[in-house]
Amino acid sequence: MSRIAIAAGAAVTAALLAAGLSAPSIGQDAAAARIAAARERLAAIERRSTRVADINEIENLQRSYGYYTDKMLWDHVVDLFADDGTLEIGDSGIHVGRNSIRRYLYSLSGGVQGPLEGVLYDHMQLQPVVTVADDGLTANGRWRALLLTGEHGAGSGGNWGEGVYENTYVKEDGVWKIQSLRWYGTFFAPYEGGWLNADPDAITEYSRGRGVEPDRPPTGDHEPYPAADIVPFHYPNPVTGTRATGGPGTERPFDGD
Amino acid sequence: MTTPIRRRFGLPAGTAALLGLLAGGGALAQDDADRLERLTALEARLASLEQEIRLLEDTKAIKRLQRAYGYYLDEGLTDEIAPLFAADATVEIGQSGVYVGRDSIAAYYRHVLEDAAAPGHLNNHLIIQGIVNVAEDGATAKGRWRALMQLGEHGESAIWGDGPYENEYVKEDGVWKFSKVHWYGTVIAPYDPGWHKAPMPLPGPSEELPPDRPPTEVYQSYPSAHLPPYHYDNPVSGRQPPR
Repeated sequence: MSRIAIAAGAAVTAALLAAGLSAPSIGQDAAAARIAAARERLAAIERRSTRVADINEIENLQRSYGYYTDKMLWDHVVDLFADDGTLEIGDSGIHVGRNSIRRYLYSLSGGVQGPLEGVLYDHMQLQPVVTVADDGLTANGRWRALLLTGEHGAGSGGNWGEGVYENTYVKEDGVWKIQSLRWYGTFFAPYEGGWLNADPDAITEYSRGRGVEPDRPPTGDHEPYPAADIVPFHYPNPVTGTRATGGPGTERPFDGD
Repeated sequence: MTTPIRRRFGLPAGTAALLGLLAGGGALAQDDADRLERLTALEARLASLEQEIRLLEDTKAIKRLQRAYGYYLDEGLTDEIAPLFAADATVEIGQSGVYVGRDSIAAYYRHVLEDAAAPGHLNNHLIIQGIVNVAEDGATAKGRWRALMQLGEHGESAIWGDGPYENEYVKEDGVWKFSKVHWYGTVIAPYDPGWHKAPMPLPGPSEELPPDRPPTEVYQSYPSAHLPPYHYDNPVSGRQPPR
């Protein structure tokens, strides 16, 4: 609303007041109470509106992460993280802070950024469940990525990948940033044969930094397919309100057939 | 509450005093003026809230439009697709050139979707990963999406495709429509043997139904590298991705 519109509205109200309100039609205390009540209701709706807007912004943030990753625009990926943000992709180990995250990402593409001839690196960001904390300053998000990657001709060929993120976000100076990003790979498998005989070590190969060391070792509490590890859920069941069982410590190894 | 509201909307600090004078002075008038100031502050917050909700509703409506478009594409429902466009809209898919205006767009979709509804044809367009930004005035918007495509003719062909849209929208008489659909092909390839072995080039402009304008940008899909534009600045740094 423009200042002019507000000023005009105030002028009209002032004129009404001058014309009649000086002979009060309702008790002053009652009027004050109603204004106070209205103010509280308004504050509650403002919080609800902000929460929906926050979810929207966080979804845009994570989707941007995907669109920049597709094209290996690493500086733009790094910009999405808080200063002390962390990143852990599969077996990459934990990279702490923007500089460390930048070193890791650049290592994946031979030290350059931007799309490369003959390289496909599609990282689709799907199926978000975003939960904003009561204080509106932190949030969690579960997502999944579907990966289509490839190197043309020789090299490593084409691959499918899939896995789940459990990320956290922080609002700093009104802007949502990634506080921690962790991708639990489910499988990374060659195009030929696909996930039929998926090798869990392929996640390691996909995600390891090339010639860079993480700041902390891999969390190491998740085994990819064919193990049946459940990625812990940050949110309770939306209907029952209870937390799904599973996650670290509840691994069910795959015994084969 | 009045101080932040004043800062937000630039209300002059002397509003209450001024209104007091307007109301005729005196203790009672001063009370009225105080109440009025509180009321004005509440009205300003309501207006701001209405603006926020409108933005969220617009974003939802645009996402619905874009997803509805995808479901119609799947089934080749050209009669449902054409009305989604503003009269002077444009459509540009890959390297096929630009079709301008709703009539031209309707003809284009009839042409490319000729067989999509027939038995034995698969035309899946999964419309995903939407980022929608509505302009300040609430009358136009831009959106980035991607389509994961599964195309096929039973027993004849099966094709994967992926690539981003950079689309634009306009609100006409309260209804969001496309003003621009622009899809950039990242990769198209037959299921067998896959994108790493047999990537397909983006087809050029149709000879049977030539576009109204040539492609706005000449590029090729994988294995070529191409960087389509991003309509939005980096949501954290505010920096613009390279072109």
